[in-house]
Amino acid sequence: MKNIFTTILLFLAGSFYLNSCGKAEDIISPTHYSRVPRAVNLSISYDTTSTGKYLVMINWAVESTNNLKDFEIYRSVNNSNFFFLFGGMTSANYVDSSLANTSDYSLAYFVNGRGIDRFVGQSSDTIKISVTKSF
Amino acid sequence: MKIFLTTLFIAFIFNQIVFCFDKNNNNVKSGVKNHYQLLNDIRMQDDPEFFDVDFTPRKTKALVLSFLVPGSGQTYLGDELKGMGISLAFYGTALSAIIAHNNAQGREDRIKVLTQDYNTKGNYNDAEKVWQTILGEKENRDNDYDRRSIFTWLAVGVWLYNIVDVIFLTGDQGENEFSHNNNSIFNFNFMEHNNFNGIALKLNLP
Repeated sequence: MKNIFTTILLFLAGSFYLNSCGKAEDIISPTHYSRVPRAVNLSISYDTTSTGKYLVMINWAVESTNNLKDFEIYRSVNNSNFFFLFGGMTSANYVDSSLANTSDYSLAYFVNGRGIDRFVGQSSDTIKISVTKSF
Repeated sequence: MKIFLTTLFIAFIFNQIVFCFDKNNNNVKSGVKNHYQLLNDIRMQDDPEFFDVDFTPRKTKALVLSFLVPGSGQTYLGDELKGMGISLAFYGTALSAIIAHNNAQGREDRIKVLTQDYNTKGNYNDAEKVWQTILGEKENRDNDYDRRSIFTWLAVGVWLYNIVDVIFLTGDQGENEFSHNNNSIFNFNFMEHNNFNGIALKLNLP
């Protein structure tokens, strides 16, 4: 009887050992969330120029400048797809004066921060404005 | 599962202690006995108790067989259905544990490849997509490891039950393949006769 219990205990010990093989490895910590600061608090306003164009002014803020090289801005006109508008801004504002003041537009913008390591960070929230031509 | 096995183990030890205690008590009480008590003692000697195991050569061989191949000892002793059930249960759970382990290892490798891919992504959106895939794979991998643990312990439990069963619960039904199948009309079994092995059918006519 003693031998039987010894055998059973040995078998249990072996099972404990086998079960501890190949333990799950930890995965890496994500870096993309905080790698490049995200543009926040976007504000937008518009005016018209003396040359007959819209002057759309966009401002934003960032919580830090770590690994921040510059910004790039994307625009959508009348609910179409977003397209790259301009890049390389080192200040937290942009003035869009590329639309003629001849018709009404529904405009939307978002901003991406770009890192020193060339990583493009998380997009900002989209900000929208409707501009109407002046008579 | 661990708690269940521990409880099972403790229950056996407790049972053994109680049986020993009862036996000692009987011995202590035995003073002058009347003939009813003596007759009762004789009858008690004839009733096999749970831990009264007679290790005959066949029983010992069955124990060795069950130790190596769970269920084979029961089959050897004549309880084919029980033996088959234990074998299926053991190999089923063991195979499930191996498959779960294999899946977990595969997912581990996939997580490594995805991690390399993640590190090369140049923008947030692509990195986020890969990261979500990594998280999904991690969840699946953890589930596979859990499955491996559960099936490993189930296999251990079946193996332990198999040993306990072949020692205490399975009686030897003799060498003759048909020795324990006398009640049914139609019997079917594998037999060895002289130097020939074959399938034997037996009809028990009324």
